[in-house]
Amino acid sequence: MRPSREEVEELLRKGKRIDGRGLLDPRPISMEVGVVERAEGSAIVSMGKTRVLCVVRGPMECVPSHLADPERAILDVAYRMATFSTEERKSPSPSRREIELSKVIREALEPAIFLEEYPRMMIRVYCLVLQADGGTRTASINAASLALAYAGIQMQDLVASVAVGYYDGKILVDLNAAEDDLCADIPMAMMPAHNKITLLQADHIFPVDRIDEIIKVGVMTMRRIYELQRDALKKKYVEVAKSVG
Amino acid sequence: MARRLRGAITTRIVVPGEIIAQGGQYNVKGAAIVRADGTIIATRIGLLRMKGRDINVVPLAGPYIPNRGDNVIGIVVDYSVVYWLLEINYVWKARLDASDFLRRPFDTGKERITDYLKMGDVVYAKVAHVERGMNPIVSCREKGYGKLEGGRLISINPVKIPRVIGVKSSMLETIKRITKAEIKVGANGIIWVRAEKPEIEELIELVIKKIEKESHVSGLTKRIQNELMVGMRKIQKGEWG
Repeated sequence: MRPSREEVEELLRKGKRIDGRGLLDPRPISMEVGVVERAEGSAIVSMGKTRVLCVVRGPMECVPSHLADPERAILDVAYRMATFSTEERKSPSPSRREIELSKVIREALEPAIFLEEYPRMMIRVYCLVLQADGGTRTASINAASLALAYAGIQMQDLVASVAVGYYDGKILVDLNAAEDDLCADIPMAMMPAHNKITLLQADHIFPVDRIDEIIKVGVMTMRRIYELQRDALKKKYVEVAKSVG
Repeated sequence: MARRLRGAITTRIVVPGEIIAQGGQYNVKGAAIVRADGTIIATRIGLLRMKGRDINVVPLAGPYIPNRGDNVIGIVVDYSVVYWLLEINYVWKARLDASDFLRRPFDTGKERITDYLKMGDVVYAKVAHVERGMNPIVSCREKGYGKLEGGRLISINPVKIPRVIGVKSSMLETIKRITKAEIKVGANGIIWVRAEKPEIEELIELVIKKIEKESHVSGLTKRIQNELMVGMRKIQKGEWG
């Protein structure tokens, strides 16, 4: 059962959260790469109940070919929610929101990839939300950057992402769906080794003078997520080394 | 999992964006770049080898990008009047001109291209010319290149090919010596094997898949040697499979 709006509101006023974690704690995160054998790169990322599968194909020939750029690769991102991912069945046709999020995710990833290394080609990224509980775009970005790195695409850095919320004077990290309905939601993504932010969105109302603080909290969390991403990538190869002895 | 091997060589796994070294004069090779501020970062997931001032990141994954002089194995997937198109595991198909295959002028009035190579035929060729964003051109003009008949094809990740060949082709020679098979290795991740018995080909396929999986773990040649010896003994006794 999803908690009611009033319950969440009451708890947040007291500085508590519905799932018992602290305001600045992200949800439990798990990551695994190489989960789909026939794709060049793949990753599955869980942030709390949110679960996203990302698959990377390519570099491949650009389709439709008139989109091909002689100087760089085209990054094609498809963000989709599975029909069974939400409480009520989601219609399988791509919604306006899904098309927009595809663009948002693409723009968060593009600065990290050396697209000019793959002229006239296309790199395809499929993000499928298996279970949605808030923060699906941030989980998708985390998964996509892992899948791209696992595919051996040349990259500046991995991209880590998290959403920060603001409610009643309080800043909270990694919103779930119940909190997302209530709070101002500020999803962001960054390249931690380069200290550059690649995505910053905001909706709802929050005081402008808190934005620095909000970003600082986000950056701190993204650095933690980044460590997990690195470990997840290396784990795949370390496991093989262990099995050999 | 940093660890030291044979004196000053350091090897560890790096991921994109990971800082390898800062400032100073380094010779950077492989999947790494020097950024404007002097930090050296890895650009792909790979195995870092650091020896004194030499930095080399050997990629562990990635697509095949042809270079001039690569030996590749291609499969005929299309043809026109004077050339074939070969699938070489790259975004674009490779063009093989009839005259480059036959090593003589090709007369379209007297002969047909399908007399020599048909769809699905396997060719061992050398990359003669690469233009970014276009079909690479391959050739069989030099000795040793041409159509491959019989045998089987093994497909692996192209970045693991140097491991299959080994230092000064030690790994490949080991496999050839023990199994007495004919092997051609394409830089594009396709390996062609022909042996006396199909069981031997099967054994080589298993072994090559093992090299692909364990390419970053040290002591590989020894493990492969053992596996081949055991496998060959089984085949000779008829216990294979």
